[in-house]
Amino acid sequence: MGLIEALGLDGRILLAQFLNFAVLLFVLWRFAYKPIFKILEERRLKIDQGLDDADAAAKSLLLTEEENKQLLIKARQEASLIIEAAQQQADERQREVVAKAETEINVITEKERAKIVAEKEKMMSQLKGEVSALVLAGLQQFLSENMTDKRDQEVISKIVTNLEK
Amino acid sequence: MKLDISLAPETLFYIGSVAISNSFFWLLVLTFFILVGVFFLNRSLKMRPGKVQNVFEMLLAGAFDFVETTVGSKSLAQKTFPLVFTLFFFILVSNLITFIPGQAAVTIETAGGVVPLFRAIIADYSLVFMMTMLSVLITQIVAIYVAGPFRYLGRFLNFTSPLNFFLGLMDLIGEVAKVMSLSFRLFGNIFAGEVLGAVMLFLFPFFLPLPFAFLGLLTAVVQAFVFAVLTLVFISMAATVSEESEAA
Repeated sequence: MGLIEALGLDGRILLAQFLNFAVLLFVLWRFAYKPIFKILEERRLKIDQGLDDADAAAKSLLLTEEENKQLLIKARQEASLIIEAAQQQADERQREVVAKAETEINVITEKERAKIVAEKEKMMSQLKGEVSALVLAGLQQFLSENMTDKRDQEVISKIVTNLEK
Repeated sequence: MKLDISLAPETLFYIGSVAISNSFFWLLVLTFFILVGVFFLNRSLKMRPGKVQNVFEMLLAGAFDFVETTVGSKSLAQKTFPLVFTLFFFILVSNLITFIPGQAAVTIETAGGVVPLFRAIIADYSLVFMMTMLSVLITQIVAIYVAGPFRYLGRFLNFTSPLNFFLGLMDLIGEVAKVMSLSFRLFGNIFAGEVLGAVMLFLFPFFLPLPFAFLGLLTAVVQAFVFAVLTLVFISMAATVSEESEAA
């Protein structure tokens, strides 16, 4: 046919062109499209992963901050509790010490007072004895000079009754 | 000085009894360069892209998005993308290399006379016909695969009524016409561009060919796009029309 000749169609060249195109298609698909799409997909996944990681990091940071805050509040509360307890203990201790000191002082004072009283009584009795001896001696001296036995008897009894009052 | 315009590419030499035309020769050269380019691109692919990789990534991702929106499903897009994009890329590069200047000036002495050494790769009807047949045959295969052989045949040979028979016949003619329209559109545009450029260069070699060169550049990109997109549309129609008729 004239047209086919004019257009230059040749079965063998057509086959060669087809094979040529098939090789081109295969090579481009296998070594260009596929790896490039793979890289695009991998990069997309990586970006996704990166964004997720960033989100997670921000969340955990927030959580940590919150935890720290809670911890701080708790620590403060505990500290104030401890201080209060210490204060109470100190107060109690002080009270105890004061009470103990007071009782000790009381005991000592009591003892001293008893001692003083005893001393006084002792002194008094001693003094009584001495005074009565002195009076007796004085009287004996005085009476021996101007008193009879009868008179003597009366005066003695009188003095004695006076002393006993 | 006379202007030689040949519809068929000129024969450069023979291998055995097979005539190797200038278009076919440059097709092999271009294929070689593309393969080498792919080799180096493949070796240099990295997670952190360089400039070249960035350009290819953008081109491929954009083209894939386009294919996906056209066919409507990701799995179908993944199946059709390699063919469609290779058609586009191959036609585009074949067209663009004709704009490397100086080609029209080089002729070569052969047994059949003096012929130009360079000719646009796509200005070879044989190659365009091969690609068109590939596109149309794959469309038919997809249609048969999706609809099943009997439903596929039933679309063209419908004996339920005279009207349906006539419509089926029209469908059959339409499929054959696809081969014509698709192939002659691409071949005609590129060949005409070549001829126009040659004529303008012949008439007045300074400045006059420039606007036609720009026009040719536009045609080069648009025709590559049109051929690829039409193939895509044929395939996606073959894959979805049957689904619609199933639902009906």
